[in-house]
Amino acid sequence: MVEPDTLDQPIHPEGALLPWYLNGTLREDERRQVDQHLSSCAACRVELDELAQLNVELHEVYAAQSAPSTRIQRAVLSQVQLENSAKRAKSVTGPQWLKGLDDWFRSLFVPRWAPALAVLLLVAQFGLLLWTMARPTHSDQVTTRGVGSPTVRLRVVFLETASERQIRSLVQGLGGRIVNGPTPDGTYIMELPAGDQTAVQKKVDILRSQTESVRTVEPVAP
Amino acid sequence: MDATHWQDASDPDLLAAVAGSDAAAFERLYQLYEKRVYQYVCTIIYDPALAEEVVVDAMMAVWRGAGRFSRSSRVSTWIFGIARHKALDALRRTGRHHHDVPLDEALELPHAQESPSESVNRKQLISLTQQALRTLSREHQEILRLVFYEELPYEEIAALLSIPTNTVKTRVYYAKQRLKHQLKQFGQPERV
Repeated sequence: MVEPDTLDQPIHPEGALLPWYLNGTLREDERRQVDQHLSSCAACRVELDELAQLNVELHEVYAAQSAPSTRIQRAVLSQVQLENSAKRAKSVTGPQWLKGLDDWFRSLFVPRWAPALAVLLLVAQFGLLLWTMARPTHSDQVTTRGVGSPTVRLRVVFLETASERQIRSLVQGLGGRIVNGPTPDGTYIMELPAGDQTAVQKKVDILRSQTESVRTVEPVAP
Repeated sequence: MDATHWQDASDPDLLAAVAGSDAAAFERLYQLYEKRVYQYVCTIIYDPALAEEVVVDAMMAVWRGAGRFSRSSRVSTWIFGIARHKALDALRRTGRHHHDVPLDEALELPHAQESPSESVNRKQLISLTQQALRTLSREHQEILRLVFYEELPYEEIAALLSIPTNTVKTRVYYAKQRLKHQLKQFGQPERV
């Protein structure tokens, strides 16, 4: 519906304010203006009387109108109680940012895949442990020819012209090791796995045959 | 603390307490406004069940949004504004139109020849006025209620209805003229 902004018959501007003069919501200056106008305008006084009569009748009509069912009051108030309880419970747990941080930490520990990952890690650790135990270690290799194994010691004098590389290559080639030396006269104590006598002798022979690097080879008395 | 604690509190005080999640203050505010909001919504929606749904929505919006009340108007204007918005939403949602006088109501209107004239008693007069009101357009019913029953200032009515203040004044004038005409048609003596 489109209402015109102006009245279709001459109405005093003060007359248009009469409904609000009656309901008491005019500003003080407007109320004084209407008062002044009414004292000199019979038509507006009649209009005011009609509005006053209408006001009484409308009040009675509105007061007699029905109220909504009591069901909706219960619905609204119980919903309010529910929301209020939820709000209070939320505020007890602390500030929102703290709760967010807590949730984030918890999410790290309680993802769906965490139990599977934990089992996988345990299996991997167990496997690594078994592999480490089964694999031959450096100490095992030393043990086969080190302290505790039967050995034979030789006193070996290398030529001054023999390089360190030649010496190392020769010792390793025979499966032995230098356990002492060199002394001031260039003597090394070399240890070989004892094995059988023939094998030891063979190794001694090999050493003696290296005339370009070995001067003398003699067994050390036990 | 229950609603009786807030028995004599003003509307702004009640709403301030509601903004602080005071359920007892809300209960008091609800008691004060439930019927008024329902009747106001009924001037927009001629369906009591749908009007009740709108009242629930509107009052829950008051509970949740009390902190947003700016005090630039009366509390009643603010609440009616929410109710009006919800009512128009409900009309759009349900595809219904604004209040039209249903046929059965129109049939109840007294026939012109059965003029109650001077013999009408007070009760009948109120009944006639009520029936005459129902023949008015939604806009006329709404503005008469806001001016005479809710006693809102014209500036706030203009803001509530989103119309210029001059339109508020002319609408009240034409609503009153229309009601006067209808009452005359129904045979009520010329009092309005």
